Amino acid sequence: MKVTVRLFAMLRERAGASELEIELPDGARVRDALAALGGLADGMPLVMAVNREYAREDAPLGPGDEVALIPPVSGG
Amino acid sequence: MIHACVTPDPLSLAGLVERVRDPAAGAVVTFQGVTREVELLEYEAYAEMAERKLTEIVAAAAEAHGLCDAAVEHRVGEVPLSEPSVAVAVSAPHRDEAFAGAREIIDRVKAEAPIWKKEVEGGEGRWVEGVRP
Repeated sequence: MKVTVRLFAMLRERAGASELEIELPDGARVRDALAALGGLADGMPLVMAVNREYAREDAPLGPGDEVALIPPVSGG
Repeated sequence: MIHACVTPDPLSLAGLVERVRDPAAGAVVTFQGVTREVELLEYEAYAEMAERKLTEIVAAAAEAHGLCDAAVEHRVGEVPLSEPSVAVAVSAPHRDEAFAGAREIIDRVKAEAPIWKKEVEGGEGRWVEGVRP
C-alpha cells in the first residue's frame, strides 16, 4: 500500500522535500514507515502523526494514510 | 464561537478581542507572543494539523475554565522583530477564569502545536530547539 509522508522544518530541509510517497506492505505500522525512510530522522527525538493526530509507533497504517514526522515543536 | 487559525497575515489583537466579545463576560484577557532579540523569525506549520490542535486546545480550555469564548491565531512565514507571532483572547464572567484560560491556551499551544521557528540573523537561519510534543 502507498502512504504519504509529510516532512517539516529541519527534516524537510534534510530530505529536500516536503512530501514523499512510500510503498509499505499490508499490515505495516507507523514504525515501519519511519524505517522505510532510512536514516533521515536519525538522532532526532521525533513524534509521529497519522492523519493529523499524534500516533504511537505501533499504530496500524492503511492505504492512503498521511504520516507526518514531527520534530520537537517550537511555536509561540 | 471558538476560533483557531494559522495565517501568513499580521495578527490583529483588536480583531481577536472583537471575536470573544460576549454579554456574559466581565473579563477579557489577551496575550501576544512577540518576536524578540532577532532580526526575524520564520515560522513553519503543519497547517492542517496545527489548526485542528489549536481548536482542540481552545475548546478544552473553554470547557475547563467556563470561558464565554476563546480565540487563538498563530502566524506563519516571516515575523519581523517586535511583531506578534501568536495571539490569544479569552472572555469569561470573572478575571480568575479568564487569566487561567488564556494561560492554559498559550502553554499548550507552545508545547503541542506542530509549529516550528527558525531564527534568521544576517541571512543565516537556525532552527530553534523545541520540545517533544
